[in-house]
Amino acid sequence: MKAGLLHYGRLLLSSFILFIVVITVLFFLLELAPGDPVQALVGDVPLTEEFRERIMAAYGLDKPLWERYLIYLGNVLRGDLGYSFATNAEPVLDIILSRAGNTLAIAMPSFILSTLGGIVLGSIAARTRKRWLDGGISGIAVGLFSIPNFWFGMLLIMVFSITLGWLPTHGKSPYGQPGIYWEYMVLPIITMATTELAYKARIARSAVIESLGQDYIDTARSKGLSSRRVLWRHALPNGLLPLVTVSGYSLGFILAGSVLVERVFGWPGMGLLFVDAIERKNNMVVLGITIMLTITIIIVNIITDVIYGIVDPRLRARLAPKQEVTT
Amino acid sequence: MNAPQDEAPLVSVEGLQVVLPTGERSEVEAVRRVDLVIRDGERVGVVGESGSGKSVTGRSIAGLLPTSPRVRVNGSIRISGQEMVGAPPAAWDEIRRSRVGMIFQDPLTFLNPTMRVGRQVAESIPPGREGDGSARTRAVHRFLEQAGLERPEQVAARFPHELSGGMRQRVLIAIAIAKLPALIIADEPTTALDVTVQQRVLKTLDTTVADLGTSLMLISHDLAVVANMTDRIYVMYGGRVVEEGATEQVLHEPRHAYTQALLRSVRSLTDDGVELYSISPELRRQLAEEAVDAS
Repeated sequence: MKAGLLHYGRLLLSSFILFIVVITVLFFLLELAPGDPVQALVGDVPLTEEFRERIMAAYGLDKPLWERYLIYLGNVLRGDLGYSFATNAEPVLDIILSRAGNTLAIAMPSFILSTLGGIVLGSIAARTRKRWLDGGISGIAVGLFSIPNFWFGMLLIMVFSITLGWLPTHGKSPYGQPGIYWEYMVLPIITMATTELAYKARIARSAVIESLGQDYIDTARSKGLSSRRVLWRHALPNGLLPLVTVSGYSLGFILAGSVLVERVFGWPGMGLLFVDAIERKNNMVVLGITIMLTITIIIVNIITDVIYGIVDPRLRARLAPKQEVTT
Repeated sequence: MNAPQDEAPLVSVEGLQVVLPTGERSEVEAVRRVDLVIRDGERVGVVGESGSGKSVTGRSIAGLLPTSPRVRVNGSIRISGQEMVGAPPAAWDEIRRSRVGMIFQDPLTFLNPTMRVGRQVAESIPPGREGDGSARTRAVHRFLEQAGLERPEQVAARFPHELSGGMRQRVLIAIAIAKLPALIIADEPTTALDVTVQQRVLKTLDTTVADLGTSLMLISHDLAVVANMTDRIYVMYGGRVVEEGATEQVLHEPRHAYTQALLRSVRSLTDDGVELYSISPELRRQLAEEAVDAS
C-alpha cells in the first residue's frame, strides 16, 4: 500500500514538473516567434502608437516578459487560460471547450477502432505467421502506415464523396444544421484511425508472436486447448503490455494528428482552431490548446500506468509486495 | 508397479524420427528410429545426457513439438491404438485433453504469469466432467490438494509469482492430473528445484501416479531419480535408444558401454578425492560409428 502510494505520488510529481516545463518552453517559444499580436488583434489596419500602448496595457503586454510568464503560470494553475486576442477577448478555455467535443467525437472512435482493429488483425497475423494471410495483413499494414493521413483523407474524399457520392466532403453537419451527423464522421474517423491501426497491428503481431513462443503456451497446449483458445486466453493477455504503452501514446498522436485531418475535412474541432490560431498569432489559444493536449497526454500516461498493474499482476506485486507462499 | 505384458500397449512408438530446424537453412535429426513402449500403469524412465533426444521423444508423444512446418516427424506413434503421426490438430487436442498430461521442467516459466493458479488448473479439467461453478472449483481444490498443496483455496487464488518453486511444480502436477490422464510425461520435473524440495516433489509425483493408476514416462538425466520411480528404463544417446530393459537390470548389469559410462559418472558423497569421470572421446567415437551403422 505504502509502496503503491509512493509510486503514484512520484508519478504525479513528475507529471506536474513535466506540465510546468511544457508551459514554460511554449510560452517563451511563442514570445520569440515573429509577428505582432496587437496587429493580429486589430486586423490589417494602420495603428497609432497611443492605440497600440492602450491595447498592450489592456492585455498586460506592456509588462516585462518574466512578469507576464509568472502571471500566466499562476492563472493556468487556477484554471484560467487567458483571453483570445482575435475573438473579442473571449476566454480561451471556453473557446477550447466549445471545440473539444467535436474533436473527441472523431478522436475517440478512431482510438477505439484502431486499438481493437490492431489487436484483432495483429493476432490473426501472428497466428497465421509466415502464411499468405499474415503476409497480406503485414503488407497492407506497412503500406497504410507509410501513407500520410492527410493524403489518405483526400483520397477517401475523391473516392467516396466525389466519385461515388456516398458521403459528404466537408463539415460536421448539413449547412445550418446544429449537432454532428454520423455520415460526416465516417471519413475523418477512418482517416485518423488507419495509420494508428496499421502501427498497432504491427506491434500486436510482434507481441503475440513473442508470447506464443513462451513456455506457458506449451502448458496451455498440453491441456488440449484449441489453438484459438491458446491465442486468446494465454498469448494475447501476455502480449498486451507493449500494446498498452503504444495505445497510450497513440491517443496523443491521434489528437495531434487531428490538426491535419480536421483541416482536410473542414471539421470544426481543436485541430482547426489550432491552425487558425497559429495563422493569426493568437498565442493564448495556441498555448491553451497545447496545455489541454499536455494535460490529456499526462492523464493518459497515468491511466496507462494503472492499466499495466491490471494487465500484469507481477507489476502490481512490485507496488504492493506480498509475502511469498512457501511449503 | 509392474504392468501385465500381454495387453496392447498404451503408447507404442516405432521407428520415430524427428527433424528440427536449427537455423534458416540448417536442421538436426533430434530423434533417430526410436522404438518405445509404455503399457497401462507402467512407469518408464528415459535417461541420457543433454541433447540425447529424450525430451523431444516425450514431446513427440504429447504432440508438443514446435508448430513450425519445418519440423518433420516420421515413423509411428500409437496412443491407445490410434495412429498420431500425421493426425490433424483436433485429434492431438483430444489426446492431450483426455489421455496424456505433461509436467515440464521450469515451474515458473511454464505457468501463465497473468492467470490465477485456480483458473490454470480448471482449464485442464475436460468440459462437463465436473459440472460447472462451485463443483468445478471444488475439483480444482481437490487436485491441488492431491498434488500436495495445503490450503488449496488460498493457492488457487494466487498468481504463480506469489508461490515458491516447489509449490509451482506441484501446480504443474495438479494441471497434469486434473484431466485424469492415462499417461503423465514428466520432463525433468525437479531439475529447476532446490535439492531439498526435489525429494518432496518426487514423492508427491510418485504417490499421485500410484493413486490414479496412471502410466508415467519420467524423463531425466538423474539416474537416481529414475532408479527409484520406474519399472523400465530407456537409455538414449545422440537421438537413439542405446539400451532398454528393466530398471534393476539396466542399473546393475548394463550391457551397453554408454550406459556403463553413464553409471560410472554418477557421483556419491563418499567419492571424496575421486576424480570426476567423464565419457571418453573413444567411446563417443564408437557411439558415432554405431549411429552410422544403424542408419
